[in-house]
Amino acid sequence: MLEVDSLDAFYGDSHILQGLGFAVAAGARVAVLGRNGAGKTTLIKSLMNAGPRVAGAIRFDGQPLEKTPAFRRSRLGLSLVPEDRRIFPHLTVEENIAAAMKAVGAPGGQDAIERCFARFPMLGPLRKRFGNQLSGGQQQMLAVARGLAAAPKLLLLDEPTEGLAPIIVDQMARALNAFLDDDGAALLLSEQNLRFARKCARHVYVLDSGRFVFQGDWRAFDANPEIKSRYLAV
Amino acid sequence: MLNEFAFALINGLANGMAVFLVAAGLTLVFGILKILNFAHGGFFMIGAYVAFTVSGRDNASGFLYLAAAIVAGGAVAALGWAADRAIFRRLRQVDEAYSLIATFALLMVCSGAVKLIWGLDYRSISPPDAWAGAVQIGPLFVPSFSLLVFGLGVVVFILLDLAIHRMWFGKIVQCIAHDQWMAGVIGFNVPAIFTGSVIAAFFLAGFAGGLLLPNQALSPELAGSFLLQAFVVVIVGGLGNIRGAFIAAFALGVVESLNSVLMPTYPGFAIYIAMIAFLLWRPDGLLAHRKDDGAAAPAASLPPPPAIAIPPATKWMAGLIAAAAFLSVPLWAHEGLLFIAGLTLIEAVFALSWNLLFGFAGLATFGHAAFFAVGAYLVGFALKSALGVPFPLLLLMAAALGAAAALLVGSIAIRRTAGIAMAILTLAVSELVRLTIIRTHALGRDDGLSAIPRPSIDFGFAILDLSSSRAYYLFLFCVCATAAAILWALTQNHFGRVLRSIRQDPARTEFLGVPAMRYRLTAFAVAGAAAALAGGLQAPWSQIVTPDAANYLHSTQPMLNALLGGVDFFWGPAVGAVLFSALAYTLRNLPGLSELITGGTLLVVVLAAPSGILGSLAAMAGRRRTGPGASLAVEASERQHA
Amino acid sequence: MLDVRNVDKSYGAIDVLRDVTFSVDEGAAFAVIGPNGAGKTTLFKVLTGEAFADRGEIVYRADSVARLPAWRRIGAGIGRTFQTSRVFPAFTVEQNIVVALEARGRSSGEGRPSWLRIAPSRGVVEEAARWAGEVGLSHRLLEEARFLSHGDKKRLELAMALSLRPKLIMLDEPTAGMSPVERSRSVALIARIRREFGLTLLLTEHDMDVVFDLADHILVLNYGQVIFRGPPAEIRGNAAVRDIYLGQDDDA
Repeated sequence: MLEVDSLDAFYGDSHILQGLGFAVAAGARVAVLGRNGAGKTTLIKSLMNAGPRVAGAIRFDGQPLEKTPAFRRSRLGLSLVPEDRRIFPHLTVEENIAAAMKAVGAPGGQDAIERCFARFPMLGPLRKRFGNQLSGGQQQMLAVARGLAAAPKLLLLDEPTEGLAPIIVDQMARALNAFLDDDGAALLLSEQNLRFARKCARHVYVLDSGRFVFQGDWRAFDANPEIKSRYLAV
Repeated sequence: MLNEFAFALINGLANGMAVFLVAAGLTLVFGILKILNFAHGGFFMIGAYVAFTVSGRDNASGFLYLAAAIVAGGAVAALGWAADRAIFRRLRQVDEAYSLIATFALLMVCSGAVKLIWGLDYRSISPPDAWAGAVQIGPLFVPSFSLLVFGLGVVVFILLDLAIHRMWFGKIVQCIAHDQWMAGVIGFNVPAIFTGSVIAAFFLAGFAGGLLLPNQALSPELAGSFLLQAFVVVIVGGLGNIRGAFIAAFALGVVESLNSVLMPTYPGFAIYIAMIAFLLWRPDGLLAHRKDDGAAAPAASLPPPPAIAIPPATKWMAGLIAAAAFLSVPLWAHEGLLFIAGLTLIEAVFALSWNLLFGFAGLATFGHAAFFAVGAYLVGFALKSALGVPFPLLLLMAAALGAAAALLVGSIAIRRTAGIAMAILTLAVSELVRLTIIRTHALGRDDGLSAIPRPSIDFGFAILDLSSSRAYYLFLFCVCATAAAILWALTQNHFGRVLRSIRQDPARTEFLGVPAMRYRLTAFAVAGAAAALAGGLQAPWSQIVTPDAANYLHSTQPMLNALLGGVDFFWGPAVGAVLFSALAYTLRNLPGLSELITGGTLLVVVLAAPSGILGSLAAMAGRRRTGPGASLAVEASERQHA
Repeated sequence: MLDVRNVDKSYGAIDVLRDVTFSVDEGAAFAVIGPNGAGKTTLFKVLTGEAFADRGEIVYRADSVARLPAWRRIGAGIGRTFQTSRVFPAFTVEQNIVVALEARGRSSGEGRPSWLRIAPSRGVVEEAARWAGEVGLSHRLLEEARFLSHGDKKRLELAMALSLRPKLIMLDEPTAGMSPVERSRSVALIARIRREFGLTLLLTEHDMDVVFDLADHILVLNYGQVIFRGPPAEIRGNAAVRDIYLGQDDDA
């Protein structure tokens, strides 16, 4: 569904991503692991054309994306949940979710909103609260819910567990997996938290200094413990 | 007394709502684009002229009156669409001082265009018959047009408030205003919505122009007449907040009516005093969205200056040639040109003093003319009343007074405000100075001081008579050169190095153990002194000083000069002053066209060459030496978005 | 040397620091760690004067500094570096250090720079070169700081901080965003400088290797509260710390 070929990304003169090639099949769940500064966030933003200067080929559903602006990509079925959450502070929880649906012209109205709340039960009691009245964990949960509200074909999830308590991380993993199981959407997850990545993804890429240094499933990952100590060690 | 007050209150509120009609579009543009649009006044004026063209001088029909206002709104909306494509889009990533200056240039273009199309005449238009009478409310007769304006203000507010706070469209616009990036990522077509909102805001400007056409003196001065008050309302209300603006407009009406009853001899004072007091209390305005993370990004206040050095030999050579050229003017030029050359020297010092604040200390002030006026009036008054103070001492006194005034203003403005709030605060202070001058009998009120004699300096052993233009010009040259040299030294020694550090990153400079505030205040005092000195030199040169010396238009002159020449170069403002004078002199007989060309030039400079003439020249020279590449300044700023 | 007592700080309704108490001995190397959002950055701000504590006391060498503005704390001998390096981009390496040195001359009273002198004094220029050499930037002296690599910027910042002759230096994530090679160079540099100048060190850091290499005391923050304080040897055995910070992987 997503095919990426020799992807380069730049911020100014810094050559952040260097010739990445990979593919995400429909319904696949992929984790990109790597340290701070490895290029994970740049990768996610590059796929959305939302920040870095990008060269290389990205195809989505067989269609080349090239210069397609972010808002159009999101209408094609890509959805990005940024690391810093970016909840709209002046909208309520419910409005944040509704905004994501309106933005892509998704049908459904109130029913769709209710389905979303059903999947993220912890957001239910908060629906009338404004974005700036939520705690960090609640905001993150809402960010993921908002990312899924548009019923994407591929969810790009950037370090969702940063700064969250373990119990919230587990809740999020459950909600996310349930959604992906039901909808058959694909996931591209950027993470440092192995525990969360293990729960949500089946395939692993390890990114270091803008290049992939490993790819495989968890078994292959665990069979190479030096990958973890060398590229991910805490 | 009570009746008098009630009458004043109704007038005040009607005026408050008129201001709100103008401010509504202004605050909308700010809410979306984060640009405080000086040109709004210009588009408001164009709206009034279009409505005038549609409805004619003696329109009696209330329907035509409204229709003309709507046509005016449509016409201005179309202009807004063009302005957005050509200008505002490019200003979104630019430092706010630059965008303020760019919109000011656009204001000049607007007023030039109006002069070219509709001429310079004053016209007065009366309200259509239906609204020409008065209504009796209790013991009072209230003009029904005042009631109409009041009602229209309230209706426009209610409609806007519904659109913004109740309808999804308004919520989406707010999403974009809060977080453009995220709004685009979740799928909103941000550029299209931007354009739509800008068109709406410009429609409001033109519509307001049409509505407020009656009871105005329709002239090219109209652009400024509501603008300052609209700024007050927008700032006090909390930038970009329509409810805040409405409340502030109401308060403005009340303050104004109190002013007219309690201090009838000082009209207009109370608004500015109230605004200054208010800004000191709440610099973010009435209903501003507080940043709740408490940790604002420590962005440098300005992009770093270009990484180009002009070789010292070239600099000295250029300096010597320029000095020689100015010194030679009395030898070949006629009286008129000599006069312009002298004014250019004065404006150059004035601009250099402003740029000490902007280019070196990173402070954009919009009221620098106040200090100029302080010096000009002090010297003008002393010479005219023949107080017998030696002229050099008089100049020093002017500088000292300028420094003291700047210290006073600076200690309030710098400590409590920054960015746009500071720009408007300083603007308000200069407006107060101007109003004070206009109200002071000893300073000649509106007419100013004329027939100021030129002095002679008694050295004891010899008397230097400066009454001839040539003699005074040479004296002027020496004083200006000395002042410029002192300013230059202050930007190059350790003081200048600290200022430049502060401009790049004030907080970082504090972490070197430097009290950045004190350095900025010192710079403010020095700049005030130099501006007052320039004013003091000008009084006997022009032999007339008018309240226009303190006008906000005069405050913008040094900005235009500095920007044109290049704010990153010490001599940039002086180069700009020379170019500006040359341009103004060449176009002096073409009213309208001169503003159009000057404003247009400035717009091009801000948009295409923000480092000014010197910056562009140096960049070209640098490219020739080192080959292409090295445009890293831009990219470094891109990286901040990473 | 530095005593922090019962410091609270909140932004709006969120308590970022809650009753934080610790003290740093003279000559110690003290690391503050904790997951993102634990309050490390806020603690740093409160200590450096970028923000003020709502409650509590900060005592540096018997003087209370909790209410002092940032620039006075620098003058008192508390140096710092920044997480994302904040050098003056338009200045050369030399000018960056010169500005710092002139600021020191001003605040210490010795060698107050003269108003009549345009160029910095020869002594200052020479000393700037020496500090640049100290952090290995001699070959970059005349390059504008914006063209430096990330690691070099961090080194320059260290040189600026050191040139102010602090007694206590606070490093905010000194190796953030560095490659492993750069990181080990930086660790060696910091260790050497600490020995050479007899500095007391207070640092925050994500990378646990760096923490174990440099620190002889560790403080762990979580949700604004101190959950551990002690030598590095004890931290590995601490279950609470493992849970929130190190033990992210089930089977690690």
